[in-house]
Amino acid sequence: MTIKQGDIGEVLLIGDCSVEDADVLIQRLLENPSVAVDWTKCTNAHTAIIQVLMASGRLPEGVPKNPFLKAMVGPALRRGREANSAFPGRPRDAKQPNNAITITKGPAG
Amino acid sequence: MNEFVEQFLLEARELVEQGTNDLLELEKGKGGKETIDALFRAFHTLKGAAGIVEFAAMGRALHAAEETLSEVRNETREVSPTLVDDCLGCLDQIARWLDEMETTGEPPTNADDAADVIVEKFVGKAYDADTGRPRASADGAWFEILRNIHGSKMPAAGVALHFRPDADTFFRGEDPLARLARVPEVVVVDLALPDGTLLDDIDPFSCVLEIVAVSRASKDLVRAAFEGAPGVLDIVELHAGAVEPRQDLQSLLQAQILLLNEKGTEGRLGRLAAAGRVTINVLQHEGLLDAAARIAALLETCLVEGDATTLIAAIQSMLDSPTGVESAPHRNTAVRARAPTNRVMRVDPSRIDALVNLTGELTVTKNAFGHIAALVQNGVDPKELLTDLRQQQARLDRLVGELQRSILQIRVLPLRQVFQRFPRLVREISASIGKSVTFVAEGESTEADATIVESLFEPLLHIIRNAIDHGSEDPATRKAVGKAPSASIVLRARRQLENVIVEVEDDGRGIDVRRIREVAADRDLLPQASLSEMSDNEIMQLIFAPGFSTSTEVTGLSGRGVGLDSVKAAVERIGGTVSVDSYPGQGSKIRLTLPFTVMVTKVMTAEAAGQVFGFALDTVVETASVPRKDLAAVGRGRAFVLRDRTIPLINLAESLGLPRSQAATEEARIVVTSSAGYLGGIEVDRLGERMDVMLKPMDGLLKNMRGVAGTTLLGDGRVLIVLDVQELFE
Repeated sequence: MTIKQGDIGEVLLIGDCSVEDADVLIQRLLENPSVAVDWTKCTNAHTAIIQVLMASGRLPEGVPKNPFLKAMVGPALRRGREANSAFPGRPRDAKQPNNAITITKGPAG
Repeated sequence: MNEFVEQFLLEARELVEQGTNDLLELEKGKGGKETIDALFRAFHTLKGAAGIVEFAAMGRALHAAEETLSEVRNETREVSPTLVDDCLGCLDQIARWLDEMETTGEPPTNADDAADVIVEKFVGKAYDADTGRPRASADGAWFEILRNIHGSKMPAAGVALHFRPDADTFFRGEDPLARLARVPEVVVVDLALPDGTLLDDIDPFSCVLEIVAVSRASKDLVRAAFEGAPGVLDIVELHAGAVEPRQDLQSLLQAQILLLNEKGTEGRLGRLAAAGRVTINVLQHEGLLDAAARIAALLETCLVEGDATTLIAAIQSMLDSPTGVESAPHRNTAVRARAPTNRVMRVDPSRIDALVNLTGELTVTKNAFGHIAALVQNGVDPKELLTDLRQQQARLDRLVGELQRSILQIRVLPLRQVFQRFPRLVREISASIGKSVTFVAEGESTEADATIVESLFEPLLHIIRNAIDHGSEDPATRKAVGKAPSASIVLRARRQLENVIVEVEDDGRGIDVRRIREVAADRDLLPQASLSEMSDNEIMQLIFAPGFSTSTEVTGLSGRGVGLDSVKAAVERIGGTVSVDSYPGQGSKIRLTLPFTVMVTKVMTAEAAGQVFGFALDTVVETASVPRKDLAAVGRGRAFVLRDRTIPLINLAESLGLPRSQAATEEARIVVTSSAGYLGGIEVDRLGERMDVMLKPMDGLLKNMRGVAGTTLLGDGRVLIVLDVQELFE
């Protein structure tokens, strides 16, 4: 388990966060919409994790160990929150990939 | 403009023309190996020329096209319509650059974007073929956005990439960001989700993220990193100079200068060190390592001496230098306005030789006058010299006449200059509206004065566009009435005495005279009575009437008439006339009758209110003296009867707003003029003489003055104002 709860309730990303952790992360973030995310101890984060962080609009706190996360992904997430400097996403319905696979989410926990 | 650039523009334009013609030939399937060779040579020579004037972007674009053409030449690639389009597009862009250079005198500095687009067209296609991957966005919109956001971070060399992973990427065990992490020297990453994605509707196992990144690495390394990744990858190579002006870099450096210039000793060294450090970091970040090293060395000495002057100077020089750190305004100074075409003229050397000979003869004549003057001074009776003087004057007269003709010859250009632009345009226009048109240009070598040739393009384009758009039927309709499916448009020129005739003939549906009558009546263009008196041919000419232009419904029904009044205006401005001929179902022919030269005009002079005015002789029908009692008041105006025709009359002084001369003569002196097919009388105080003048058109503030055609100088130094008769009556 690499998604843990910190002392003050914050979500901690620890070690290598894989694609499986993305679902857990979503649940945690949905349960508590104001919860902070800390990635100080994160050594690696799968694209799925970053995608969730991006969608949540939350900026992870701390400086991750992974230099790529620190130097590139962190700033990208930060810019993603600021509408004027963000790279615009494609229109939502127009270009949904044809081969999208839909997965039904299970209940929390 | 420097000589090289001038020569370059001249040659490049010719090459662009030649290339365009070759491409059009190829498209028709006419050109063989020779055409391909010629086309290749044109591109190759253009590329070389671009190198000479150090126009790198143009060289790059042409290089890409040339590579593709060389494949065509080696018969490893077919001539496809797309290829022709791409090559024509490339030449179009080059023509635009040439226009820009013509105004600025130097290669445009912002040409890289356009060059990239061209390179992408040629190189991008090959890339698709070898990866077999579809391109994410052919228009490269993401790149433009990326550049807008991160222009300052773009390295001089490297790639920008856009990757949209397939939705099921995660199921295949893929991690797109991990792949990106493997790309060396990534400068910036941006992530985007589809618009309005929220946490609660995101599927954690479906990838919807788009990744945009810039790296200093080569295209190959990036491709290797994304090899086999499920998704759509789009790569744009960055080239030196392809980067937008580094505005924030500039403002950062300026801020450092401000800091360094600050007065006050407190913390001075600290400020110096800080500003120096920032400058170095900024330069390093931009990859300007040499400059950074220079500043670092300077900073050390400055810190030792405690004086920032040299550092400030160094940073300032970087800001000023055109190659170092450019500012946005610098780059955008290029004026977009299109310069008048062909400021440089190519002249047949024999025409120059003729002028040189004339100059020699003129000098001899001049000396003869000197000799005669000396004789008079020495006491020889002037009367004895009269014969001599007359002879020399006759000689001078002949020489000046020749000089005039020779100069005219130099100003003469073949109509080819205008005609050759049309095959290409006709192709474009007809393709855009789905009609098939065969275009033929005849008599291209017919010559006319440069001014006329140059101002013919727009009216002709208008007429031809009309002929394609409204005159010619669509292929199905043509077939139904037994015509060839492809409409034919002929652009023809020929010399007729002192005139040049240019005709545009189509074999379309012709003009529906009945409709024009109806519409003219609807709009009260003319009273019903005069409409019914007019012949069909006269009615047809109404398509050039101003009120006729704006209606789309007329266009749809009559097949003609969109803005043809502007054609008329343009042609009349250069002293020509326009008329139309049409046979229902067989087509129409629009004819422009233009003067061969605009330089010499025959005028007749007349006096009014103590001033001399001129009338272009071709508008003067006759002069008449009419007893005042025969002048009748008609409504608010006056008229008189001449050989059973009633002719409206205006008083020249009055219509020009000058005081009417008081001395009322028994008979009114009238100049009878004809313009646009109508007769009109102009009452003047005195009739003058006929003369040949070089008419100078009005310019500057007076350019749009109504009623005046131009001015010229009289023998006694007075200015003769030549009037535009038609405008006087309007």
